[in-house]
Amino acid sequence: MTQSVLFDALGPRGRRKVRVFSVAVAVAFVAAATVIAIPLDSAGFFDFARWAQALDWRIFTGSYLPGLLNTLLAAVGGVVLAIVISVIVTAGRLSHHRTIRFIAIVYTEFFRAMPVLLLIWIPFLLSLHAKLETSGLPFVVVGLGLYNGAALAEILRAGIVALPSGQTDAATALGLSRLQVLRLVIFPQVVRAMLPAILAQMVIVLKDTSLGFIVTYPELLRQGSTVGAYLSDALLQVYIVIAGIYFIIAYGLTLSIRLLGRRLSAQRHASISVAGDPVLT
Amino acid sequence: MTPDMSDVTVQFFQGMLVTLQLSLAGFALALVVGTGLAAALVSPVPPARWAAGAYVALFRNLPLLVILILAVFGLPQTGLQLSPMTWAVLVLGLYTAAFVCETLSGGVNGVDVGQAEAARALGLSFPQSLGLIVLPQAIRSVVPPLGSLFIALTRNTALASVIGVVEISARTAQLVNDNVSTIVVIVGSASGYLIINLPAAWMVRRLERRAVFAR
Repeated sequence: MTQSVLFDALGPRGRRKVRVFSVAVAVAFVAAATVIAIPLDSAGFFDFARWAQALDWRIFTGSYLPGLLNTLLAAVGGVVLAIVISVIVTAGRLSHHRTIRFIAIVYTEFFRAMPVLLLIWIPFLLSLHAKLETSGLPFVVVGLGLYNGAALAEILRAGIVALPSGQTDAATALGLSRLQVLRLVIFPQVVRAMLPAILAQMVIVLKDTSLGFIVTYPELLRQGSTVGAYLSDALLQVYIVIAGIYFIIAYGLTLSIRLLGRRLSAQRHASISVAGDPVLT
Repeated sequence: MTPDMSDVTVQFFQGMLVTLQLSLAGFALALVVGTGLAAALVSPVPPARWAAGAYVALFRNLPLLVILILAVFGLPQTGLQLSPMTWAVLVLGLYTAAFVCETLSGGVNGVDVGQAEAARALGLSFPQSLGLIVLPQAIRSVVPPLGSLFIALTRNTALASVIGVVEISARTAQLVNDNVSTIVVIVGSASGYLIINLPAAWMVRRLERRAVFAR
């Protein structure tokens, strides 16, 4: 039983009520599932042959797996580019020069407002027009990097704002240069504090690699639609398998990030009490 | 052949209207479904909580484009056929509902436990403590994140161009193919999205300020 804001631990009457509601909800779900399953079954959704086609081992090794590798490749490229861009943009936002600060702000606002799809699609169409023969990968990486660079920069900025200004003051008082303050004092703390948010953004990058579909980059979704074109009978089953693969990877990452976040916050409480002791004594 | 400027403006404007329709209809659906899910997620009934939790986990960990393509190209196999526009609104709404649910339940659980305890100690009934004490405080804290969700949804409507809905992004691609200058295309599509999102961001800030005053 989770501790909720809304109700106390239930008494005997409340528990009985909850039991009645639970059974009612469960019955409603079973009924709804049946109502959905009957027309699905008559349309041949559960046919063994279709699922066997979509789950064929040769398709896994020949299409799904290479697609997954391409997806991961694009995700890693996008993440690396996004990190580089976000560090530059964040440093720009902290600059003493007004023009540099302004450019950094315009960058974040523009790329956070644009759909990632267009950031990938427009350059791709332009290169088609220029009759350049290229694969889709650079467009996916650059599009993802541009947008997520801006998104990560916002996360970093939130972390910097939350950092006590005494950190900067102390580091400056110790004679560190501005760049040293950033590199040695601010960034390590901000990255540590914002690590769960930064990693969550990487799951978003992974999900958004599916946009490679529109520039015919052979990532997982594009591979699925190619396979589906051959197995038109099992098209839906193929897409469900593809969705399942995405889900397993993204959910696995989400769960590990949640675990890491919990461990980090537990550590932080421990380190605060440790750091607090010398002050008290 | 290069279309003249007024023609380009009309094209972007028409695309913008479709984008606006998609985001408003999608967000309305997301609010309704998301509120229902959030109610289930904070309820004391375990099966309802599990179902809402599973819905959120499922939609949060699938790429939107995968859901959209699965629905539009896969589901007709089962005899379910809808227009691209309807599919786009349905998928965008149901996808965003998972995020709305998380935001709302986070808002309810973020209200200080002492508030609800005090309400119960004063003898308020469950609907009273929910409606008079917890919800008003929760709604205030979720206005800004809901606003960001609307803006994210507007960006996500771009994916509808993949299934043949002619909104801003589809118009943009068309204009690139028509050899309209790159700068015009980029500025045009960006301003199409900004014209929707800047007023939305402004309204969120206003609502936020009013919520602070009302406290």
